[in-house]
Amino acid sequence: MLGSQMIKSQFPILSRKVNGKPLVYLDNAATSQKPQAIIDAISNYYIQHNANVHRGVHLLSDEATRVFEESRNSIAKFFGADPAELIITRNATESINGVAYGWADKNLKAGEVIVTSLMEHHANFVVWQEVCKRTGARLEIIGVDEHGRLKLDELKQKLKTLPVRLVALVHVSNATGTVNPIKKIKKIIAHQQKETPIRLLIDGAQSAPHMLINFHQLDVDFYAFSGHKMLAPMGVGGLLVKKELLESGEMQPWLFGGGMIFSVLPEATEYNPDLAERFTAGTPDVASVVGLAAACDYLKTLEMRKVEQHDRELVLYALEKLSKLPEIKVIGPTTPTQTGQSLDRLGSVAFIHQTAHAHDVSQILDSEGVAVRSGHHCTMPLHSHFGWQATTRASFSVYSSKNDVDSLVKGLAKINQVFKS
Amino acid sequence: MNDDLYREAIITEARHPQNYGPLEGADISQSYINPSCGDSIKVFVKLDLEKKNILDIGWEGAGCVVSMASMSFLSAKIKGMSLTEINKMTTTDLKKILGIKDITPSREKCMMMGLMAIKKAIKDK
Repeated sequence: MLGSQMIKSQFPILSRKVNGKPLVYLDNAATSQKPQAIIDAISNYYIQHNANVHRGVHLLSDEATRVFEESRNSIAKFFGADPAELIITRNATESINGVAYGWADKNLKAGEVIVTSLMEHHANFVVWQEVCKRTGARLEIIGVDEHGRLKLDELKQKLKTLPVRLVALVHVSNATGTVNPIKKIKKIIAHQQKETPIRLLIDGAQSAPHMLINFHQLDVDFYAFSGHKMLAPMGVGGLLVKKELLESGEMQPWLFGGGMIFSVLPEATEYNPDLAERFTAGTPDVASVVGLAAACDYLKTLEMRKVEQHDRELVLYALEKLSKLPEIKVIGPTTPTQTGQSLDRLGSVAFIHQTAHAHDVSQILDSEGVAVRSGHHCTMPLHSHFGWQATTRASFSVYSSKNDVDSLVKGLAKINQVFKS
Repeated sequence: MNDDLYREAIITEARHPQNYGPLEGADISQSYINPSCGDSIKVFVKLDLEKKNILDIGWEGAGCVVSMASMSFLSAKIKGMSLTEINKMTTTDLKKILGIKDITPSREKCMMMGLMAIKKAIKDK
């Protein structure tokens, strides 16, 4: 059962103490902890198989190549993608930068428009500001309503009136927890498709750990994710790109060197026709890719639908508990858009304490063993729009439990004691 | 498993390859490189009048025993075959032709170089 003692016991770090108290880890939107199975998969790779991949004939190189290829395949399968559609990167940030260099720089002309939103993580915001500097394209930003939901009317309006080439939006907000309606957004875009297609990029850093993602069903052009937020090691993530964009050459490699070539002559280089290799320049972090595949296997065993359900229950439980505290104001959606529908929120609950600053809140919670994050969560445009100095965020993973939420609430009581004295 | 690869038959085939050398009157020629090691192969293909079947083939190249023997056996096998049949050939067929059960991913690229060259030639004809 998710959140059970049995699951917790598979994550060695969760048994350590913090400030003399048992660790209650509620900073999973920043990074998740790693189960023993994944730590073992990584060390087993180094103990048993380590060698450089692809160009070696010796046994270790052969094993490393097989392990690497199998891992790539199972990661792609986990995301419902063709292995050729998966580009291994360091994290979602690098993936989005990859789209900037490999797609936007090659396809955008001065005056064309990239649409993003106010709720984006800086990774899906600063990158586009930079692209605009390089290409002369323009960045247009759609707003967010008081519940933390995208103003889709603004998206419609911009698509109708501007030469939009790319829409880049987050799937699940790391600040408000809002789950954006991708299907609806796709429909809006489809309605406005012109001769030059409008591409859609989804930042999946916070959806991959909590939702069943099927890239083909999602039917977006780019999907970026980080491994470390979904139980895998730090330093590995992925970019899923629609095969037709890779095959047509609309999406170009953005890193060059060994491994990605077919032939190199003094006057010119031909890229590797194998799509996976074309986008793998230099030695990949094989052990981390093995770790990411092990994380996908681990999550698959838990079943992503159950992971999502578990997460949803924790979000609702936290919302209910926090709503009883008069000094706490939760940010983001708290009631469904329509009665009978499930709440469009996943992964985290961030809030403002009416009297204590977020940094003080998390410092005092830490003294109780509760690890949360405070600040702007890399969403400065959103925070400044609403005039939030900083917020405190509790975020969940497969091992999180209602007891953890209770510990958070108990910790918050201590803040009142400290600030009332 | 690699002992399989160095059977006398394979070594002899690589040393005395069939259909080696450029083919006069070829309809298409095409080069292919194994990007992992830089070995290369060039094929010369003569087609029938309807451009549906391979009449004759010549090839030249520099490479390891596996790539040379594989290309040599393949060149003998595909004479008279239709382009459709050739396009359907896979690693399994090449392994059968070489008489091996298993091959590592890196050597598979050596084994496949000749077939890739021919397929590329057919595609670009």
